[in-house]
Amino acid sequence: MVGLALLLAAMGQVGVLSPFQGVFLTVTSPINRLLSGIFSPVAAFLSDAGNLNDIRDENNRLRIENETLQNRVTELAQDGQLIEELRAALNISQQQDAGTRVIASVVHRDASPFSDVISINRGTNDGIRQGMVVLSPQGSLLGRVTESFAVSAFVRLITDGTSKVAAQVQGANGADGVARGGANRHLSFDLAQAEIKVGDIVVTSGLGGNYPPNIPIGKVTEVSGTPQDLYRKVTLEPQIRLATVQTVLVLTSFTPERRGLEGR
Amino acid sequence: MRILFLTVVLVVAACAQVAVAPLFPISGATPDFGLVSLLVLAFFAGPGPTTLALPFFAVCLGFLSGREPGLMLLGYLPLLPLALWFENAPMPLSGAGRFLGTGLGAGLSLRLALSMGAVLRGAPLGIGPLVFSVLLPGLLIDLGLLALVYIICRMLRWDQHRMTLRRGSYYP
Repeated sequence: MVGLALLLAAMGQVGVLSPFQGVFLTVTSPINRLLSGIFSPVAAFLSDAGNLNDIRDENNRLRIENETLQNRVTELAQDGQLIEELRAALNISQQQDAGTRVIASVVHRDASPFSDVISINRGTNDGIRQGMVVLSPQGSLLGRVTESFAVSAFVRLITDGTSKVAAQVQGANGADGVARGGANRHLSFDLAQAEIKVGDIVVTSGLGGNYPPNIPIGKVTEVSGTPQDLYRKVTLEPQIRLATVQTVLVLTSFTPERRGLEGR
Repeated sequence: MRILFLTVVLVVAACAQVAVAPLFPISGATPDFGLVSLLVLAFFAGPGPTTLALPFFAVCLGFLSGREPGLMLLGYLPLLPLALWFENAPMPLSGAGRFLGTGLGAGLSLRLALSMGAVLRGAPLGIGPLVFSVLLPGLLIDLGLLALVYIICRMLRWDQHRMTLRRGSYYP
């Protein structure tokens, strides 16, 4: 039996099992959908009931944040109008590439303190390939596709222990570093040499070509260490609650330049 | 017919493991329906069918969860030797004790194997998270689930099977 396990491990590494895995995932996807459809509402109800106080606190915090953001939206709308007027005056044509995105549902989530992987119900039949970037419906970075099959794909989330994303602080500061997943789905911003404050937004830098630039990753929640430290310890909170995400967007228009460098 | 039924049960258990179990986490750990299915099979149908079911289930679960099937098999592998050891153990153990002991040991081995697999792929090794977020909550979940399942099996009046495999022989 140990020999069989080693043989399976070797076959998995070579990729011999991939066609069988694709067929198996196709055959079992209706069962997975059925089970998810039945148990997801039950789990959501139990989770909400158990976290009533947390939800109340979060609701209050979000109300305040919403009001702040509404004000910011108004300011930005005015700025946008001004930019449009200036663009028209200078006769500059606007080029905007929103990118092609495929909507997918999360079929299952394999979360443990050392790994954070989801599988989605779209695959190579929908143009999804290994290395493609996966976003939340609001446009925040969720992860990237590690394996794709005909009707499903596996996505490694940014909070996975092996995930590393070239990132920078949004704004004039521009400190760049690496957003790294850690044990217990912890997200940190490492190797950044600049003044970083709690509340700063960290986005992808695009360095290395694995991710497009300026996709929001998370907000700085804690900065520890002294100003004399070469690198301070920075903790990030993802922009969305990754545990409850049900729908994702796969950015099919972006092709990573260094596919496979991070491993499977 | 029995093999077909067993195959369907194992495939559904693997699907439940990836589609249902992650919805009910307790302190980061999730229930292991596969372990329960294999344990019930081993104790109430015998080690023979379990020897075939174990690699089949490991491959199914590996395919569905995107993990290495070989690693899954290595994780579940101690189930049968543990069951045999508990049966022949010097200390007197009831059927429930053997069932729970085997289940807890196999669950521990599986979670350890999966964590080590993640660490070998590049995840940072943290003894604290390993013990307090993987192994201990996993043991508690397994204990609760296995006790419940054992009671149900006994209420159905299923009898425990011996773990010793019958030696093959030639007949003249």
